[in-house]
Amino acid sequence: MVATSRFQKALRRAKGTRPYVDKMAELVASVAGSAGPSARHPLLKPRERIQRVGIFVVASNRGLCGGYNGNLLRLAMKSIHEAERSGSSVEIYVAGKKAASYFRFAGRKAVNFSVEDNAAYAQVVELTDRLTDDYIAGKIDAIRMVYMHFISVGQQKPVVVDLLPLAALAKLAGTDKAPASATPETAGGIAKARPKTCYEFTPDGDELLVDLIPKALKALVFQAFVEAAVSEQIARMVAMGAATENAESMTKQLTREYNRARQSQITSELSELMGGVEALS
Amino acid sequence: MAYTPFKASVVTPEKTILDGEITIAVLPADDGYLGVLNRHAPLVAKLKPGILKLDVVGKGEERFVISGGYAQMKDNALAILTDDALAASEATGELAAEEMAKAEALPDETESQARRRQTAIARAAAIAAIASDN
Repeated sequence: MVATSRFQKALRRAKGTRPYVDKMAELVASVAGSAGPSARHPLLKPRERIQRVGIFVVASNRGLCGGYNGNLLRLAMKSIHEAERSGSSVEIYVAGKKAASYFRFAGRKAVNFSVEDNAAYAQVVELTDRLTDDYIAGKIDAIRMVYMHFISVGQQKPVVVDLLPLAALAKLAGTDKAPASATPETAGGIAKARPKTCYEFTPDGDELLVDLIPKALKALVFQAFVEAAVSEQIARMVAMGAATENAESMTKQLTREYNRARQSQITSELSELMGGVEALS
Repeated sequence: MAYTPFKASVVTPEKTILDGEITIAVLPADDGYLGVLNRHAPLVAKLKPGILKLDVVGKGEERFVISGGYAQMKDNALAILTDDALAASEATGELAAEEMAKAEALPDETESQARRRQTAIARAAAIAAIASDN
């Protein structure tokens, strides 16, 4: 019951963030489409040699949620091993106490961001800034984020996404630019291609983009946190439902055993009594 | 004179603050206040921490303290994206002082920390300005 109401709250929150993330993506696409070569931005450009990889794991603070953290950490370990096999050293970043204690147990060093259960946007901004700082300073050459992706109420999946360099955004900018460079086909003197919206920018497009990309990154990370929170509540709800069911069937079985034992005791007492009466008469 | 209404929305990462029709928007753009009316040309503007004024149809003027963000005018609809929007009615002198103290206590060792601190200070100043108006 508690998990159910928490889940409803988390779901409402996830729906609340949707408009912001969508609008942010739209904004980036329209700015990137009109601005200059965006791939020059340090957060977009892939590095030639990847020596150190950052793996950022978004887990929960509390347990009792079934396989939620287990599945997540298994995937995290898999991508850590993969990165190590390809010859790069791994820097682990974690949010959530469960992941922190897991890596402590596994004897791996991890940078721990302590984040509350329902992370506020400001907290996400702070930790994303720290990740970005490390990336720009060259401490790490790529960052991957592992979190529980919320597909639907019935389906959640742990996923690994490339956070930095922001390949997803670069692609977005690329596809938006393609129609602009293509020559508009003319038929009978009338341009067939729909004219692209021509924006007025303050400040200019490049400067806006430089500012926008970190913002978009934060929106992405925040979205992941919110989705992870919903998935966690679902996992907990399922785990708690199963636990209740289990407890109920166990109660039933134990009651039956108790009744049987009591019955056999009564029967044996009765037969002893009858035996005594018979012996006396 | 009466202005023609157009669509507008104010969204933060946490929730949608406003989604309706307005007649005038005054945005705290990076290079000064910017007025937006119906059928404004497509626009993308960076906003700085400051006061956002909207004339909401049926509600009158509404003011918000925003901590920077972006405004996009597209297909005659204005979208304002901001990290945080505080309604003017919630701004008080005490809150401004509290926020200013919190902002000044923020660390500024790295570049990103300094940027956050500056934004927080500018936001607190805007709260103070709106509170003295109330």
